[in-house]
Parts: sequence; C-alpha cells; structure tokens
Amino acid sequence: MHETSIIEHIIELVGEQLAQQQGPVRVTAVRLRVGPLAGVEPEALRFAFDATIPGTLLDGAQLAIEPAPLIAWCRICLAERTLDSPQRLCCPICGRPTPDVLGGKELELAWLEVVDLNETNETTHATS
Amino acid sequence: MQQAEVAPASAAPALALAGPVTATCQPRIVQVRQKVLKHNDVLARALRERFTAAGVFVVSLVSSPGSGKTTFLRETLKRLIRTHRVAALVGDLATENDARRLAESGAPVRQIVTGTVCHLEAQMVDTALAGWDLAGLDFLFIENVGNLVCPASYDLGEALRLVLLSTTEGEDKPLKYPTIFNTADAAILTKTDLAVATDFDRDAALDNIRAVRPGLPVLELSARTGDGMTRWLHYLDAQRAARGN
Repeated sequence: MHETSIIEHIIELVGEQLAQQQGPVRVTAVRLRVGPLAGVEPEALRFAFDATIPGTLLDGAQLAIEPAPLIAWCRICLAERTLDSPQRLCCPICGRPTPDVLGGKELELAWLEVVDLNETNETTHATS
Repeated sequence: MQQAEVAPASAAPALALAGPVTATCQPRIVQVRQKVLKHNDVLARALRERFTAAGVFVVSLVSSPGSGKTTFLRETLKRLIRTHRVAALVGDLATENDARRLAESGAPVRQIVTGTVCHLEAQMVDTALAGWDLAGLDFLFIENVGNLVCPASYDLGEALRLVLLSTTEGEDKPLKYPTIFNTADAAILTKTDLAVATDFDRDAALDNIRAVRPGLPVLELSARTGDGMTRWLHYLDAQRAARGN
C-alpha cells in the first residue's frame, strides 16, 4: 500500500508551507484533490492518514478529499467531455474512443486550514 | 445543513480561552495547489535529462506478480547483449532472486530491495545508479516491484513504460487496474504459449486494453518459446530510434 508513502509526502509539503507562515500555526484540516486516474484509493488514503499523522505536524488534522473529474478530449466532436469511468475512455456523446486525457490524474494538496497560535499566551505558559 | 455545522464566530474567543495552547483567530485557509509527488516528479525529470544526455534509452516494466516480467526481461537482455550495451535495475520487496535470474543474461544487474515499499521511486533509481557510467549503455531496463497499483503514480524518468499482462491472469486485469494501463506507453501480452491451456480470451483482453487506453500498442509474445520476441525487439529499436538515441 503506497498510500502511507503518499501521506509522508503530504507531511513534507505541509512542512514547507508552514515554514513560510509568519507565526506558529496548527493545521486543522488538509484538503486533497484526487482524480480517478491518480492511482490512489480514497479509502486507503484515509486509513493511511489516520495511521500516519499521530506525532507529526498534522496530528489532529482532518482529511478532506475532493474528487477531480475525469476529462478527455473527443477528437470527433472536437470538445472536452467529462467521462463517468476510467474503465471506458470514450465520448459519452458520440461513443468514439478518447485517448487524450485532459484531467483526472491529479493528486494535489489543494489547501490547508490552519489556526494561528497565540504567541503571547504560549510565551506566558513557557515561562510560568 | 453544512452551515449548521460551522461554529458561530462569537464562539471562537470563548474556545480560545478554554485550552492551554490557545488559538486567537478563526481558522484560515492556506492555498497550496501543489502536486503531492512533486519532489518525485522533479527528480524524475532530472533523471530523464541525464538519460537523454548520456544517450541511454530507459525502459521500465510494471505488472502484477507472476506475470513473467523477469523471464521476459532476461530473454530480452540475452538477445540485446549480442549487439548492444545493456543493464538492468530490479526492484524486489525482499529477495535477490530476480537479480540472479537476470544476471544469467550476462548483463550487469543491480537489485533495489524496497523492503516494505511496494513500488520504486525516482530517488531509489537515482541512488541505485551511483557509479554506473550511463554513457556506456545503450539500454537500461528498470523492473518495478510486482504490483499493478502503486507504481502507477511514480515517474522514474523512463522513456518507455511497459505494462505486462499474462494470458494466465485473466482478461479483465485492464478493467481492474485502468490507471497503470493509462500511464503505460505499450502493453506486453506474455505467456501466449499458455493461452490455450488457460482458455484465454484474446479478443476480450484486447478489447479491455483498448477500453481503458485507446490506441495503446500491444505486443504479444512468449519469452519461453521465443515467439514474438523478434517483433518486440524491432518495436524497441524503433522507439529508441524515434527518440534520437
């Protein structure tokens, strides 16, 4: 199951994003965009996420997965088409094969939801 | 319904005072929009540039376990080594058996033991290549771990990705694993000598491949009997020539 390795890559990317933030933040949610041709199973991703995040900078964060549509170019209709299934790459209008996939391979970190931590309070706690 | 789940803004300060590590603000969104595997993609791109500069044509093989990758590759290496400089990297979860079998061809072979990792990543290929003179090679083959799911997401910098399907696996593998067929440049249908014994429905298999990846070239062969191997090697040569190697 490579979903664990995918989650580790996500933690790495989140670390890069947090390094660019002004003050300390806590990540409360992570949103991914996953296409049907990304090669990952959303259920396996959720499982790997829950198993991997404790003790990391995503500890306590929620995972949201947004499905990306499968879009192909129909060479006959000369139009973009949204397809129902990666098991049959053909135009839903004219029925001809659509080898040119324009969307559906996405495996993206779309956004993070963070809360800024109160530095003053933290300092007080640290020194008291 | 969704709005009902969102806490009213006035609730935030009260919550903030309650906890020991406190949040002072409402949650905010940090837009990222980056590929999760961007580090692998960047490294794979660098590998591809290195391979092109060195003039080595790199072919990767993916399939489920037991589809005949190693036999196919060994027979390919045996034939190519007469006229070309060839080498292979082979990924395996635990054993070095595949590397030993490939080395019977006389070609230099390196093993990448992946441990619990079920696929090769560009970083593993990069590390395994250390000390090899790429410019001294015409062909480099990379045999991925036997798995039709995980390797699909990882670019290894190869020029040609082959997906293997054997006649003993059943005709519906492409429908079960459309992504790996979608990322491949050609499909190799192996073990054609066993097709009769297993009641393999060739037409259904080809239809299924075409359904998940219209136009994908399919080469049918038996590495054991040698049937179809010449046609495959001609195809390989033509692909290499098309890339200017």
